[in-house]
Amino acid sequence: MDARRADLAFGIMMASSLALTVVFVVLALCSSAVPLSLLSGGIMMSVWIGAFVFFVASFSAKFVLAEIPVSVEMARPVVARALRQTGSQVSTEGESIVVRVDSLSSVRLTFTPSPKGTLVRAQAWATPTGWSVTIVFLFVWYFSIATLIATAYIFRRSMRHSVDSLLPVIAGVCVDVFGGRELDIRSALLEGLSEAKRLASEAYEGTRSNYQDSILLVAVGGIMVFLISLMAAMSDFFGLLQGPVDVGFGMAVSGGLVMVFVAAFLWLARARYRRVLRDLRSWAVGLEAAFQMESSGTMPVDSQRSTIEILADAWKELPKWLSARRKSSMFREPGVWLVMFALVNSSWSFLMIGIMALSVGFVYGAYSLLAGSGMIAGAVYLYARWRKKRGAEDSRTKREWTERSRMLEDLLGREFLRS
Amino acid sequence: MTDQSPPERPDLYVVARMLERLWRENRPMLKTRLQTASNINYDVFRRYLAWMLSKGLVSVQNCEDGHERVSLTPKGEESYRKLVQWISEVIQGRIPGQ
Repeated sequence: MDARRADLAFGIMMASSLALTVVFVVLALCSSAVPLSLLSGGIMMSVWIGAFVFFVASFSAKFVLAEIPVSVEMARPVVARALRQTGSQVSTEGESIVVRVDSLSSVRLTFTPSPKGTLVRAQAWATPTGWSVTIVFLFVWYFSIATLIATAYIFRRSMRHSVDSLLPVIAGVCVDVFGGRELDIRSALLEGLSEAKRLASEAYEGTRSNYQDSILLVAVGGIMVFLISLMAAMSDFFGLLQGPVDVGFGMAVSGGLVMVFVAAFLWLARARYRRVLRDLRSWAVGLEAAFQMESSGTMPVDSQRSTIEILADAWKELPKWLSARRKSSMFREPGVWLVMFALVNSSWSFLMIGIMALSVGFVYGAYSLLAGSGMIAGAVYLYARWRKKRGAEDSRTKREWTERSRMLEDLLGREFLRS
Repeated sequence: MTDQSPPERPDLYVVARMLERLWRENRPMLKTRLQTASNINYDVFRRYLAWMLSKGLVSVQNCEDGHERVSLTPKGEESYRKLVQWISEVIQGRIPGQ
């Protein structure tokens, strides 16, 4: 694939989804039976369909990037290694590898056998933040146009990065150098630093995202406390006040309560995350600097820690980083979260319709309530299952880390400490 | 100089640091230069140098200018390579040494 074909693919997909949107909008406008009040809904639906189609098409399409003359089993580690040595953040996910492009975009590389060896295909992919942005936009109807923009941005960035940055590295993969032979020292240092840098950066971003989520929750909680306390004060819920209640007084009481609530929770959130974030950031920045120094071949100054010490310290930090990454891994499984988000989002409408229908004595509203409750239960079940899986993965990672550390210490002991 | 008693259980951080400095220099280093670059005091340096000599990781040469220079032996370079590779493998979630 070259740059022109990547642009062409982008253009075709964008044009197809826009054409689809226009068709639906025209159909909605031409339908004389549609009342005006439903027309805007029809147009929004059309935009959403266009955005959805573009979203699905963008993240499903795979383009042949290169063909390399090695088996699939060999191609994956060889490509991952070559990319790591150029400073790319590479993670392996099942049979594929994912290369980070920016905070929203990634490229997923898949490997399939071919007569000459292995076909490497590129697929637009998103980072956890990218998934969260696109999925949230997709399910909030009013922002469906934003889904289109976010997806287009990710798709274009991924494809351009595949062609401009990944293709030269993959095409230049030298099997004689990497294929099963022992690594030279600088390559091993670069690989270790690159992977440590990726893990530290992801741990930092995940923790920062959790911190931001907690601030958002505090803000939402603050608004709820304000509204509830305002209603309680205005209606003299606790019977403390005699006579009519002044609106200003109610606002002052509610405002005061909100300030106490928000200040307390923000302090707690800050106390919990500040030091962790500072440490993780310092690690990510330090590893990036070490990688740059190593790749440029610069001689470190005497006061600088050696690269091997940095790597050894990074190894000890790994369990913390892996745990931090996993805690923020809600959008690492976009499929599950897409379903959960859809269930919660739809349940809201069913519950509201059910309550409204029942309030006017329309008994069929009970079915709507039942459906909404079922969706909530489904979402809770999926969430509980995801949490359990996350816990199991956490335990497995710690076990594996302990085992590998023991093996490493054993090897080091044999190499250096025993005569 | 090398009659210093070697450490009973050497700190691998110090060993790795000294090996890395010698590997980076890619030529024999003056002892005082290696000691400064390794960021350790002279007594510790002498003990570790003695230990590394006994293991065959480094060699000391008397040069024409009257100074002693330390260089990495092939065994020392191979040990350092293994050390880096194993740690790198563990960081990448792989089993070291396989």
